[in-house]
Amino acid sequence: MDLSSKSVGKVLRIFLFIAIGLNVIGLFNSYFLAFHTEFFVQYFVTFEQFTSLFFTLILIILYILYLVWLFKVHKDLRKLNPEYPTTPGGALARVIIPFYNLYGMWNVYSRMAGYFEEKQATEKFGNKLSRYIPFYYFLFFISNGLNQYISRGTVSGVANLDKVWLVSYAVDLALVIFFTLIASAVTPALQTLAKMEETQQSEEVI
Amino acid sequence: MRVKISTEVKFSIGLILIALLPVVVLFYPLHEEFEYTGNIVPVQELGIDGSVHFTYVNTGVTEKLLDKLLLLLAEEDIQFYPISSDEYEAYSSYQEDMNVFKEMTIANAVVQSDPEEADLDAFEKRINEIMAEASQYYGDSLGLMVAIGLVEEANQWNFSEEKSFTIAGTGTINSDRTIGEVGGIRYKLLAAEQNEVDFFFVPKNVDENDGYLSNQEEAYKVGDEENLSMMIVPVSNLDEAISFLKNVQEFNLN
Repeated sequence: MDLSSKSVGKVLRIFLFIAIGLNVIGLFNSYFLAFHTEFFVQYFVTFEQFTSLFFTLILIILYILYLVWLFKVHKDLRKLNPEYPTTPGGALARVIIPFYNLYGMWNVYSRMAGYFEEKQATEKFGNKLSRYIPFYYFLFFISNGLNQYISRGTVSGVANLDKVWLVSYAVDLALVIFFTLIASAVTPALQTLAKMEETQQSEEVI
Repeated sequence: MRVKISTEVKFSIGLILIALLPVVVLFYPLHEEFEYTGNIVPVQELGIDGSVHFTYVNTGVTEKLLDKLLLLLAEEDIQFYPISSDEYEAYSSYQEDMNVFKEMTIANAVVQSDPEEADLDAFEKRINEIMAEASQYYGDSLGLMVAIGLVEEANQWNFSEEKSFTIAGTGTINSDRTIGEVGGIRYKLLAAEQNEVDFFFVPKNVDENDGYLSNQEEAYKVGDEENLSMMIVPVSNLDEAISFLKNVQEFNLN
């Protein structure tokens, strides 16, 4: 069985690694801004502006890829098991809609983890996913909170945002790493299930 | 050996280029001088016991297209003037020169506000104190108002009548007490208007045949265009400014 999430999953993976790289650069930049401001102003300002603008655009593309991937992963799950309780549209709604995503974000991944854990072949991927969910869930909301604080603080001229910026980059880096781990657990689990499905079908043919 | 690149990698490269292209465009070098409204600042902020204000405008040079776009987003009334690459190269040395001019105008203000004082060490100390307090301001256009503030300080006067008036202005001061011309008149007047200034001093110079717009002519032009409510007061030397302020005081007393 061909997985519709396979191609977008590969592209997503490439962008996740780019995002990790740019996040590490951002972390270094914000460290110099917070603790070696004069050195930063003299040598890093233009470089920081360039990388952070590029990073922002990469994050926008990454977010779109993530939504497409999540949609297609659920499409595959429904194809593998028409009884799977979350529809592709429902999965998107659970992560996009504010406040609803407080429940939805956890629900989408924990349901997926539970589904993988039910089957012996994908149990280890389900276990991994279960371990990553709490970290991803809390980091996601901490990152959102920090980014909103920085945006509001920049507009209203709050002083000493440099260190908040540094913490924000560190949280974002951890978040992207945990999401990469989540994607790395979901993709092979789906591939395993797809292979099992193929084997079952060929057995039926025999 | 031929390397086969998968469709996903090709697609990813395309997306990366889509993200990179606008960034490269926004970082395209663009050198333009800009100017926008600043503010008025009490001379007390420079450690002077006076009641008048000097005025500053925000100026600088853009390095890339992104700088210009960010300024346009942040400031409603901003003007850009294209500069050549030579002018751009000279800009940092021009800033250093401006610091020398600032020290000269402050020195003139200190000496001319109390010309009978002969203690050179006291002059030097005062100049250094004011220079230190004025370090965040660029340019030499604060000279006249620093001098008026120092005259108030030396004579224990208060020309603003305990804040009944707001007095501001711009202009350098020379060693012969004359007032020199400055830049940014339009935005200085707009900053003064925003702060409800009553009297605004500008360097006096009207010669309609010299082919350029003097500070005084520009100030009147902006005053008409923007329908400014303040009184624009052209002065050619420090004594004219002091005499005007004394007259205002007397008029107010009567």
